[in-house]
Amino acid sequence: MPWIIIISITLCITLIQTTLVPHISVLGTQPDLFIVFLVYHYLNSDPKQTFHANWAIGLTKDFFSAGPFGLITVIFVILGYLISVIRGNIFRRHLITQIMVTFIISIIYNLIYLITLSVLLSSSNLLAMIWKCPVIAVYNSIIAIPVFLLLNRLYSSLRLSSIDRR
Amino acid sequence: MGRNFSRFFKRFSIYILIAVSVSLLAIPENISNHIKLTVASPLAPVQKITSKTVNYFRNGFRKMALMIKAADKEEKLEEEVFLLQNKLIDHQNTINMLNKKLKTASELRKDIDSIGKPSIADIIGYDTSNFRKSILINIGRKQGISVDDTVVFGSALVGRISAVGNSSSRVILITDPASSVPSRFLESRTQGIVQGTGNDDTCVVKYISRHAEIKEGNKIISSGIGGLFPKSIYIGDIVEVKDSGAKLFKDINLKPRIDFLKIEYVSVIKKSKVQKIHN
Repeated sequence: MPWIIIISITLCITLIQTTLVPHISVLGTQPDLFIVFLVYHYLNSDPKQTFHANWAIGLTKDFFSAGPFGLITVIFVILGYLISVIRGNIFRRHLITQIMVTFIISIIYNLIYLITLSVLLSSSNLLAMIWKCPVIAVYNSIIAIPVFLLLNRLYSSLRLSSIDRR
Repeated sequence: MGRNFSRFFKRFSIYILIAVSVSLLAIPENISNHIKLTVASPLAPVQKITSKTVNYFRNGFRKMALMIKAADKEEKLEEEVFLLQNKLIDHQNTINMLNKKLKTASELRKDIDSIGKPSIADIIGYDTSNFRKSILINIGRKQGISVDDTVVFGSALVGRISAVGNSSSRVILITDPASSVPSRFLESRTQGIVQGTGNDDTCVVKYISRHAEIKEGNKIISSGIGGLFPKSIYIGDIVEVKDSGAKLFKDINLKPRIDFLKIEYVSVIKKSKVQKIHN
């Protein structure tokens, strides 16, 4: 996939995530469009290109967060590796599979981030927020449906879906 | 040969990116904050426009809902106003008595005002993480903002500046897990530390002795200890007090005075002003 498309989508996601998404929070949680895009991109694009794109998406999320710089990038790289491992063994073109992968990846991401952050900040208050992880994952999965359909349409209109049928 | 080289190059670039990702974690916080804001600053004008549009529509919907409720409330309010006007006359007497004290207080206020007014900034973006609570504002170094300046909204504490760019800054909210504010109960004068939990509407108050008399509804203000935050800024109200037998300290939950998702602008009190107020 051309880099210009990835950068454009990432910038759009950044803009929506930092301005609109906080206003649609439920139970104090907001959906994470970066994770949704990461999953979609990994499941639908050329596996050789995904690593670099995934790294860039993680880095962009890092730029717009107050957390330790590089932490999200590292976790995104780990998650990308995880998806690439299961990628060949699942029916990844089906929407239900994509939503399930989004759910699982969201839980793993939030758990790793939460635990790492509570260690780095030495904050025990953070671990009390562990209940948020499944809620965020459910929210991400719900948001993933329109986002995936939108990205499907975008990819097919740009004739990018044909890249990866292997 | 060419294919092998290409494969080697791709694998090599992956290792390089992993190494770069890990090494980013070792960058000192002030430098990484500077990098973050420098990279994020080109998006700031677009964020500002998007935020304003989102707020415009949000306020529109809210106003429509409020108008429907307002019609019902109007009659009740008219009655209340009539009763309150009568009470005002009673209170006039008390006000006269307190006049002398107010004169003294107003002179102190003049001293504070003479130092200068805080800078007003629009909120242009929120944190991308679910577990960190920070906002981006549209003023920075050019407007004289520096790290650790205090951020307030209508005399209630919002947080402090954690990173400054040329024309944007990041504010760590009091609800962020990395935030700690030295504080004091308005009624009992007991001191503690208000810490963020990562929730939008809850903070915890730490190090309050189990023997301290704290009730739900008590108000908390900043104590000014440590010099980072000015004194007497309203932080929030106590919503829950737990006193489990074995612990030395009470478990106290606090609801911040401000709903951070509802405000559109904040005021920044510059550090130099805070120091002058303390002196």
